[in-house]
Amino acid sequence: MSGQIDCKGFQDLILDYTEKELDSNQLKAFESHFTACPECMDYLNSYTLTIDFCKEKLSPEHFKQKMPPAVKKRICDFLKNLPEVSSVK
Amino acid sequence: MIKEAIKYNEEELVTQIKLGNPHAIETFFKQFSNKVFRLCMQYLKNEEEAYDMVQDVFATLIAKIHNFKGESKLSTWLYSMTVFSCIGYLRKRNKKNETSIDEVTQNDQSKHELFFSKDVGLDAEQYNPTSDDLINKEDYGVLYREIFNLPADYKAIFILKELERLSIKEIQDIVSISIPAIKTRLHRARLYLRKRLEVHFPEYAQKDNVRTN
Repeated sequence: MSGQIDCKGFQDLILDYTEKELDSNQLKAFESHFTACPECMDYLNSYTLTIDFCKEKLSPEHFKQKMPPAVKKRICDFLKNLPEVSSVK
Repeated sequence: MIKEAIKYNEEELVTQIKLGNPHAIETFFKQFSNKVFRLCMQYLKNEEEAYDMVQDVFATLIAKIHNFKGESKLSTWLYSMTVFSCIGYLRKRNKKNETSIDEVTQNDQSKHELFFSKDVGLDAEQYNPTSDDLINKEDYGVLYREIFNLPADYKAIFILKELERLSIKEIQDIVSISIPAIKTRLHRARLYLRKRLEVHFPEYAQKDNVRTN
């Protein structure tokens, strides 16, 4: 990487930037660009806001759903009676 | 036989499932059923449909277990099957409201325009809220509804990355598409959600919060 990127190049790197996957040269070029380009700075700002917002609102507690035991048993019994399953228990 | 004392490593589990061992199948189901159910709920948002999908996914995996070559983890194969089954089901169920990525992007002049134009390439008005999730101004409900309204291709990647918190590489193992394609879909999902969040939470959009790594 030559050390300078344009807006298109900036766009191409933004996801890797948020995933912390840029190498040091890419990171330097990326940060140089957004500090010099207000449009890209705005764009990065709104992009990271979305990620942070989702992380804040989509907490793991919302997704600890489990199947009721009766449903689990019903499905498990169904699977154990499939033709592919041996009758030897 | 002391069934409860038997514990399988992955290789043994696969072997025993291939032999049709009911105890191995029960072990496998108990180990992964909650996670598969949660994944199904994130796509389908309907408990009864999710229960049916869990049953179908496990039954299909058991029927096709002889195709499993051990090149990935069994759980990866299972999650992959879950994701594609849910996507296929959603496509049939929501055919009117869905737009494929190709339809969305074919009118864009270039990626540059897509990223910088105010319209991120998706017309949010195309997507109608689901009938079983009425307008709910609680943040979580609103966000979840918008995620649910994503096109299936975007939603698949977004759920695996942002809800299941998998890495890009783990996602690739599940959905078997290239990493650039995964990144593109994730990126577009984020752009779409950004647009929708500006509508629902304008105060959030005004925050000055540039994150530096």
